[in-house]
Amino acid sequence: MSETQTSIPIGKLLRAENSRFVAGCRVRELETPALGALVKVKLEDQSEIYGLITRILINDDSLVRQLVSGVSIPTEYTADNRYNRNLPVEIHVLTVGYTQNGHISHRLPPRPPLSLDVLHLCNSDELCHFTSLNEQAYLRHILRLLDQPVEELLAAHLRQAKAAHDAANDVNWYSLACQKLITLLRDDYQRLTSVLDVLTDLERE
Amino acid sequence: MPLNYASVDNNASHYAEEAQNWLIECKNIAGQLNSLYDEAVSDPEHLRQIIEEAQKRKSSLYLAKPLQEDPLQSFCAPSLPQNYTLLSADGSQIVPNRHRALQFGLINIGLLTVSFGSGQPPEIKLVSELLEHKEIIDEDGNLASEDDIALVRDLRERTLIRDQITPQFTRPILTVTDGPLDIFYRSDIQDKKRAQSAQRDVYLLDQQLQQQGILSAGYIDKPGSSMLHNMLEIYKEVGFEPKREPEKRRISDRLLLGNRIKPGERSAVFEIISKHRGDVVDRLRVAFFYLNVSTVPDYPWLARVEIPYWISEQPELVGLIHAILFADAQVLDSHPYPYSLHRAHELAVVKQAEYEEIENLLLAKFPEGSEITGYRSNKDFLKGLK
Repeated sequence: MSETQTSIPIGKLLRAENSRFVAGCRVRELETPALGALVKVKLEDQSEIYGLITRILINDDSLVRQLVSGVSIPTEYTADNRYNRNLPVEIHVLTVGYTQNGHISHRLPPRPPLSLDVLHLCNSDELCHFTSLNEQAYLRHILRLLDQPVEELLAAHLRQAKAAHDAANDVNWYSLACQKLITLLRDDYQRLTSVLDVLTDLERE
Repeated sequence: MPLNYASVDNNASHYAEEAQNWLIECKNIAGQLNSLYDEAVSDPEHLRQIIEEAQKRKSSLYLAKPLQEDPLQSFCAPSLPQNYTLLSADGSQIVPNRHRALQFGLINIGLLTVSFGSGQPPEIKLVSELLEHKEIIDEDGNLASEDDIALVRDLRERTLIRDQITPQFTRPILTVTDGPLDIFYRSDIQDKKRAQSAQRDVYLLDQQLQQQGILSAGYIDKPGSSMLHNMLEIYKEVGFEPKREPEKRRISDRLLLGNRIKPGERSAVFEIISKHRGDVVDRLRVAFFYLNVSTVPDYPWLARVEIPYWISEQPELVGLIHAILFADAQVLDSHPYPYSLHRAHELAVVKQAEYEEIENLLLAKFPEGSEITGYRSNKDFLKGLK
């Protein structure tokens, strides 16, 4: 199966810096992306920047605020605001690596993607490939986040990645990822406890 | 400092006092007119005869004429049909400006088609039309005015909304535009023949709509007209001896009817009697009612809804338009105004940045150094400094 058949375009870039970027998409395109999903942006020089979805933001405006206070809104007008009006859903992405000349790195890319570059959702093969390399070094980017519920993001990402690896008969991946997290958080007992708590919760599913 | 606030503030209290006194006087006159209204409309047939006499005698008139319904009553909306189609159109324009590097005119029409009962989002359409050069500069070199361009826009709104309708649309079908239903005969329009031709076109369009059973309405928010007061002045002219001096100040219909129409209800239907020199023969005959779109008893908010005369002869169709527009206005219930018209406006409005982009697009089509493009006026350039 070729990449173009499986990578799903989910939005276009609004703004970016090396460590994070924001894409916009319409509500109709919102069915596919989810918190913690691995996404990528292909640059003009054929290199690719990878990231994890850290936040999905539904914007408002003064008309929506008016409608919210209304007694009843016809279904057709709810649909008008969701699908017709020019209010993009914002997808916030944490940069976790990039490829150049076919080589995947878990470091930050030399330059950020550009506005209007297309954001794609990675397929299972890409997810397995990216998350197996470099001893899951990309996880350090998640742990650096300060303004996010890191544990929830980890749980969402690990759940998706574990399912992909399990389906590919790579049953050790999840325990390796847990060990990596324990190593990275060995000096932060409080955070390690809350991460282990969420991992326990994940294993109960 | 953009304004000398201290200077404005010195006169602000005096201004507020004058405005307040003016409103009190208006309310006093409205109070007197209220009893005259009760008297005049208590015999609608007699009042109609007086108005018809005046139509023969006078060369210029703009007043309300009662029709079949009792003008002393207000009317509830019937229930809404489950399925119907509502089409709304609104437009904006770029008026040629001699201070810019290039003079051009553009109209931008937003159209919203809602199929209620379908659950589907409305269809939206945006039509942007660059006006031809001959439409913005006449043979004498005069630039088209704001009113000239508005006339073109108003006519396009009506033709485009008509063109949108397909046999697949769920009936009943209502088309709504913002403002008077007939094309307003603005005094500043330079090409009078064109204005008359546009009025004739609107008349013909309505005939087509009538044949197909498609309803249309014009919605006027916060109307300022005094058609009822004018009607009472005509009544006074005939019915009182000795003759009374006509009231110089005109009291708006809104002020006169504000407390007579309960929330969600409408007034009786009246016909607009509009007569001016040079009126075309084939002109749309328009009726109207006032609709209280407020839901709060102490704060009436009247909008005027204009409908073709043929609709006024069918009370069930008047009720249908009443119900549809009231429901649509309630979507934005803190500031009731039809949602569909607001959206059509939102689609159509042209911002300054877009004006400049269109201007640059046009300028790029001219060869370098073309004399026609010239420069912006120095005044316009300096106005743009930030």
